[in-house]
Formats: sequence, structure tokens, C-alpha cells
Amino acid sequence: MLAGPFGTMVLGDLGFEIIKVEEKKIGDYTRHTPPYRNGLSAYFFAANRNKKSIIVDLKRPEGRNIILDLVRTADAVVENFRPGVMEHLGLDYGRLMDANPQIILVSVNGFGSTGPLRDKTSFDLVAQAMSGAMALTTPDDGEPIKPAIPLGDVGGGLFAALGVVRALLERKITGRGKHLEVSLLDAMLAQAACVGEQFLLGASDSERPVRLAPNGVFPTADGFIALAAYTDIAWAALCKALGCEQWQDDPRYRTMADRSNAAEEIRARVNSILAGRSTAHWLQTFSASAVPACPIANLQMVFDNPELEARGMLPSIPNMVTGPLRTFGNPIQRHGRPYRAEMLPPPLHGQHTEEILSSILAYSPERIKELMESGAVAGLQPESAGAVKS
Amino acid sequence: MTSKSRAAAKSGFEESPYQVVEVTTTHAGAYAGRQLAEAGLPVLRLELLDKPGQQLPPMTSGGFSAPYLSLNGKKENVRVNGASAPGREFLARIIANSSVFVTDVPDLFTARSALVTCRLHVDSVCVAGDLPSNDILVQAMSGALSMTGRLEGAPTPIGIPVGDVAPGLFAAIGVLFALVEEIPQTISIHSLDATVSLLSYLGCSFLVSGAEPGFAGSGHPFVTPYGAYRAKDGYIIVAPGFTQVFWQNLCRMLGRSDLIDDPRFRTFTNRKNNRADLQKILSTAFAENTVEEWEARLDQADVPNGPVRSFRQALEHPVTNVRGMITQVHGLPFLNTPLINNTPMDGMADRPLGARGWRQALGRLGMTGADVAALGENGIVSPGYTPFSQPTETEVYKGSTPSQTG
Repeated sequence: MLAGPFGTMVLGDLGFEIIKVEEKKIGDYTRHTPPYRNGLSAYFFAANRNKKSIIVDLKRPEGRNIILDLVRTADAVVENFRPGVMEHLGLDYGRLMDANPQIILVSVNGFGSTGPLRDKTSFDLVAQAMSGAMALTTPDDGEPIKPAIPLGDVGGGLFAALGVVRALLERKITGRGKHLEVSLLDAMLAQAACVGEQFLLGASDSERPVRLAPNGVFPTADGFIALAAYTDIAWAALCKALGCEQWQDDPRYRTMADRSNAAEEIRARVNSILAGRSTAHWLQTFSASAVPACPIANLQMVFDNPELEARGMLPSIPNMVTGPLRTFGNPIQRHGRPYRAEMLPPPLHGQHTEEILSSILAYSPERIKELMESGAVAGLQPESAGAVKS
Repeated sequence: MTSKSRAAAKSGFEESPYQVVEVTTTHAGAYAGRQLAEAGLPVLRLELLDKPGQQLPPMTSGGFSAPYLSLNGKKENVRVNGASAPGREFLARIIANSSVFVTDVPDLFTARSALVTCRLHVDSVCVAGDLPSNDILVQAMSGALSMTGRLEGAPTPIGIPVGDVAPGLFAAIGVLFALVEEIPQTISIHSLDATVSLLSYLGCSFLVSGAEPGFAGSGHPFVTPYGAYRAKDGYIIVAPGFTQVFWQNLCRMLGRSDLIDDPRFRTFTNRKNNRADLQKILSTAFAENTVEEWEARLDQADVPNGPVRSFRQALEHPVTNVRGMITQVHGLPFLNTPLINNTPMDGMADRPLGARGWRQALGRLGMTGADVAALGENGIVSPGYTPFSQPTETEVYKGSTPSQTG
């Protein structure tokens, strides 16, 4: 699951120290998901910068005690096991509170620890399908379309991060910790709340929601253009720019609500005109007449966007395995600057085991050696230094 | 309707030491304010009469906007004549007295609260104009639409307004963290940045490989099998491609253990290179049963799967109700926050919605009862749109809660 790691990465970007606890054999499975550069998985890279990695065998009592020692030094624990696993490991919220009465626990899972789907396996795609997000994205009855942004994972992660800072703020006032839970399915529904409310209120009687119009992607002679001309002002500007002022007087298109109801008809009319000229032509025309529109950017265009560069949204992260890699920064800026001046690369598997045991937990070298030998912990794993994956 | 745990989760503090003032005209800004209200902070939302905000369709039979209820149902909503001099003076005064000020109105980007000021830059894409939702344009500029669509198809807008929701969520995280830090500060969020930051592995794959991922339909550019398959009566998604265990579970469930050792499909790379062969085998297999039958069998075999549901079906599924995702606000059904409080013996009571009322909120911001009455008489301040925040309190504000924010 990408959700938990993404949520803690957002917090790490704000300056939190993030300790990632992994098991020895495989570790975070996204370490082994293609594509790679010199053994670094893009998946892992996408959700694990600014973290430290420790390998602990949670199934051993010594391993569990190390976690409880870490909990004594920590503000919050974020976990994304299936429901029941933390209890099984002896790490339920009661045990964590015994170690640190003020600890905050945020659990991220597929469908929640209560309810009929508690034990069902989830992934981003599962949450996207079952929440209606794919259906909302699919314009017809054909093959469902998956949103390219993994909204199940990143949404779950964002709500988890929100839960951590919210619980920290409450703790500041009440002195008490909290156990919050978010499921990927519920996080998906909450992101669509604004669209979904119409079903609850009976404002839409079909399976598809009522949408703003014209608002979407429209084909041109040589590609596509995004257009958001649904307000009265933007609609008037569009009618004028297309040379169709008479549309403004059409009683079927008078208000925003009217245009929503006539969305398909408006789309067909706009399509028939836009299809006659190039994207460049329309971008220029719309720009000159204040019609909200823009091109469909590919990733190269995003990385060449000087605005993003100027705001520090495309930081370069040093990396001993791959050399420096650019990535997307964190959008939260304080006084116009990113919280972190420098990003740290994602950790190698077990890279910080010894450092964490000695400097954070102040274990003696003898004790660390003993734990290493017994297998309760492990140091840097050779396969994470850039072995070829298949 | 509301599960016990979720009712308690809504509560932040019995009496919050903070007062949020929100002046927003966009979905992004209002979504940020909603998250703060969900975190237990009292949110006073001021609607500028000359900027109508999010009265977006569809309208209910009661004649109000469904998105508006979703965004603002848990706030105190007040209308302000911001074009008048007393209105501007009023705004300046209560913003300065607030502990958190959230805005997406560029005219107000010079105003500051006592502690945390949060500015949302929603117009950072290539547009002119005051749009209540920039979602489609932000999606287009973020690169997300270059990867959302059918193979050989058209860029397809994501049906969830991620271009509005993402900046709202990041803004709320930023505000709550700034309150934890307790350092006076101004945070800012650009809608484009927030959306770009969610491109996740597809964005990073471009960074490590240099190749545009392009469209993948319901599938995945690197992982096979992964995606939707047509069953007898609809689509089911199957996502066993990430681990060998899930993949082997799928093969056994289909009675095709032979595929496990088939050299075409043994590893990630093998499966990706022989995707067409594998898709053919799986498409044929899944066509034979109904979605319900497949879901039961795939669950039994522990293969990640799920039926492709419409949003209405998702709302109607029992799990949504059990999890308390549908609650009530102002006597209307309301899609809830996903954060649930599991703390045992927490004892936190629910914050009664709207119990304080907007007059009390103004009192916390340093306005006296006489101030409020005068503003009301002069038409500077009036209650927000029905059916929300109709003043339920009949008594005039008595000034019982001193401002703790100045």
C-alpha cells in the first residue's frame, strides 16, 4: 500500500523525523515494483523521501520491545496493516499507550476495522473501483477508466497526515493521545463529497452526476484542449470567441443550472466548432478573449513549467544509487518557501538500523550486536544497493 | 445513521481556543475550511455579496446547491457586504482578531490573522476569470490528464475534483501543523502544485525512465495483470500484479497453476512483455461468471479485487452506512469525513453543529452585541444562504465568550 508511506512523506516534508519500520525479507514491497533506475523503484521513490529505514522482526518479543521503545520517543505511529494485525503483534493502541500515554496512532486500511469488508484486501485500484471514482471518470458504458492519480492511496495518505496533525493539536490542548482510523474507501468517498452530495439530496436521479457545462476536454483539429466556460461570464466570453453570440439568448442555456442540464447538447455544439481549427489557434483565441482554457500538459511540460520551478516544486534530491533525481515537492509553503530547503533521498533497506538503535534509543554496542545476531534487527540489505530487479 | 465512534471523532475540543475565519469563493478554499471544521475548529465563513462563491448546480428541490451543502454545511455562514466601507472595516477587524484566516480571494491576500494565515492560489494556471472550480484546468496543467484515458483514446477528466480537493487538503494539513507549531505564519498553497504533488509513481516513473507513461485505460503501465475485466454482468477489477503471492493465488483460483511456471509470465518483466497473451487468457476466463461470483471467489483466494460501482451504488453499499459515512447536517443527509475516532474511553462529546451560532463566533472575534446589531441593521452582515446557518438562537448575543485569540 502506498497510502501510509505517502501520508508520512507529507509530514516528513514539513520537518517531522520519519522512521520507517520494515521487515527483512522483502521490506516495503514497492521497493520491488518497476520501473527502476539503478535498482531504485519509482514507486518507492514516490513515497519515501526524507525517511530513515530500520529493519525489525515484529514477530519476536525483542522486536516488539524495540518498537515500544521507539514509541516512547515518538509523537505518532502510522500503520497500514490489515485490521487485527497490530493486535496480533502485541502493538494495539492499548499497548502503545502503556509505553507512551500521549502516543497518537493513525491506522490506514482498505475498508475499516469494522463492517462487512474488514478483511478484504485493498489496493488503490480496488478503492477506485468500489468507491465509484472510476465510474465517475468513465464517460460511457465501455471499459472503465482509472484516474492516473492514485486517489485511493494518496487520498488515504493525505487524510492520515491530516489525522496526525489534528491529533497533535488536540493533544496540545487536552494532553491526551488519540487513535484515528481512515479507510481508503471512505477517503475516496470524502474526496468526491461535493459531487456525491447530489445523490444523497436527490438532486440527481440518474447514475451519472449532473456536471457543470461546458467544462472538460474538447477535441480540436490536431489534439485536445481543456475548457472551463461554465460561469455566466466565461460562457458569454466563449460564445463571443466562437462567433456564436446567439447561444447566449437561447433560453436552454441561460443559467449555470440550465447549461448543466444541457451539457451533452452544448458539448456537441462546441465540439463541432473546435474540431475545425488547431489547439494552438484556440489557445490563442481563448487567451485573447478571456475564455478559461489551457492545453493538456504531458509530464515533460510539467517539468518544464517555470512557475513550478520558481516555487521550488521540482527539487533535486541527491541519491548515491542513481545520482541526483528531480521530483515533485510538497505544495505547502511557509512565507513563500518550501518547509524543507533540502530533501533527503529515500532510505536503502535497513540503512539506518544501527543509527536509530544507538542514537535514538541509546542501546549499547553490545546490545545492538546481540540483536543483530539473534535476527531481531538487521542492517543494510545488500540487494537494496542497486541489484538488477526482474 | 451516525456510528458512535464517528460522532465522537467530529469533536475536537469542548471549547476551542481557536476561531477560524474563512473568506473563500472557490471549491478549493471551501474544502480547506470544511476540513478545519471537521477537525473540531469553529469556522466562521464570510460570503462576499459581490462574489457569489460556490452556488453551483445541481440544485435540490429545496432550491439550494448540493455542492454548497457539502462544502459549507458544518460552518457558520454569514453574508457580508464587502463592497461597502463599513463592510471592509468589519472584515479587516475580524480577520485581524481571528486565530486562523483562510482565503482564496486575491484582494484579501494582504490581510493577516493573529496566528495563521492561509492563502490558496487557485488561479495559478493559464486562465483569467473568477471560476468557483478550476478543477479541469488544474488537472490538465498537472499532467494527470495526459495519463488518464483509454489506450488510443482521449484525455479524460478525472471524475473526482482532485484539482480542488488536493489544495484544500494540503491547506488544512498546513494550517493544523502551523497551529501545533504555534508560530505566527503565512502559509500558501497553489492548486497546481498540490495536484502535481499527487502524481506519485507515474510522475516518478517519468523521472527515472524518461518515458511518458501515457494512457493505460483501467490498467497500469508497468504492472500486469492489473485492471478491469468484463464479467457476465459488469466489470470487476483485479490487481494481483504487485506480488508473486497474489499472482500465484489468481492462477490457482482460475485452475491455471500452469501459468505460474509458464516462462512468459513468471516475473513482473515477463508478464509485462507478454501482456497481450496474458490479457487474452484472463479476459476469456473472467467473461464466464458474474461480478458477484468472481468477487466471492477472488476474496476466498486472497486476490485483490473489486466490482466497478457507480457512485450511487457505493453510497448504497452497507459498508458505507456501517462506517458512518452518511450522517446528517441541518436535517439533511451529509457525506461525512473519513477520519474515525477509535480511541477507547475517549469521552469526547460531539460538538453540536451550529450550537454556538454565528453571533457567538463574532463575539469570539471581538465584536460586541451592539456591534453585531448595528451591522445587521445597516445590512452589512446577514445570515448565510438557507437552509444553513439560519440563526437558531433567538436571543441577541450576550457576549458570554470572551475572545481568546487577540
